[in-house]
Amino acid sequence: MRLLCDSNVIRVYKLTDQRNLPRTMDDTLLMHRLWRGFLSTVGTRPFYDIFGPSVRWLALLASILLLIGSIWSLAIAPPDYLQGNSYRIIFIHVPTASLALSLYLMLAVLGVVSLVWKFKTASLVAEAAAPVGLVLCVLALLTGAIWGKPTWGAYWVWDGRLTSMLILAFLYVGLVALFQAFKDTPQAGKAAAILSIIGAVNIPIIKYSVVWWNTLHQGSTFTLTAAPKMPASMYLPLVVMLLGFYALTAALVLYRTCTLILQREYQKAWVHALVLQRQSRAQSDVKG
Amino acid sequence: MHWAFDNIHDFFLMGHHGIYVWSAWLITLVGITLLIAVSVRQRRQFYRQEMARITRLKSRASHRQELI
Repeated sequence: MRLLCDSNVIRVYKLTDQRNLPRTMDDTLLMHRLWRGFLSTVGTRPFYDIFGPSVRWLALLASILLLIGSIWSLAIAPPDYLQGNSYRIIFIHVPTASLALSLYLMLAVLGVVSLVWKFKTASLVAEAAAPVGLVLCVLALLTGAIWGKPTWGAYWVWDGRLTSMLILAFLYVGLVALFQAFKDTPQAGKAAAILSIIGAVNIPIIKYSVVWWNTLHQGSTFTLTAAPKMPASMYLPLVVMLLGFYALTAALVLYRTCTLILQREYQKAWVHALVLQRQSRAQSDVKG
Repeated sequence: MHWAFDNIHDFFLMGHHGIYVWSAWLITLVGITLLIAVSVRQRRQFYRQEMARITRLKSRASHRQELI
């Protein structure tokens, strides 16, 4: 009984033990307790059933897109007239950076959902996504630094875009650490949710840093509203890589969330059945 | 659509920018691969631990049956 650990529930028990409480109060507290228990487990099994099978398709889609995108961007796209071939780093730099931002925004929304409605599944998705976002953010910083050397003559400059992106990386580190620190406690995800909401203030700063401040970093290559500033031979492979990275991230986040759901619900009958099914399959593989 | 480089040597050299482009690609590949490997390992570890736990529970139950 996980619920017994919850401080609120203990209080509920204490209150219900006092016999002088009016009966209606008793019922309200019971309903409250049931509701909280429902919210803390709601959606874990449907989430696993719905998104579990889609992981392999997303992974397949991601590998096809990334393979095509890599060949296209490395060998087919023409060199830039000014930057030469170093600009090819854009094909991984932009997808990783944009995904690091999108994932953080998602974490902030999930943080609100898990704090306000106490949906445990939202917290689990956030826990699964935080390390993915951290890796993408670090990759964006590293590829950016490598690109900076031939283009600006320096690996690192303390300008608006780079510094705010570094802060995003630190926020991701904080989130991963907080999720780890409170793992398997009733408070799990609460501190991380608060940090993800507060840290969301950094997202518009990163996005508009190239507009607000005079910076070395170039502006957005393309936006949803305006025509791209690149020829089709350059932006089409970038679109393919972007879609590939989106599919990859979706696959990773869903897969990791499903693992967390299994770990959390290990005592449930359906998880038990899954484990037994896998065990029998493993044994038949050994015999076969 | 045609190849951006005339031969494989030019493709790897990339006009003296090869080191930057290839290292960026390599770092990304390593990072993503590590992430996937860690995620898959966590899933496998869960299944391994659960199987061991279930086997342990079963053997304990059968042991109890024998005692009765």
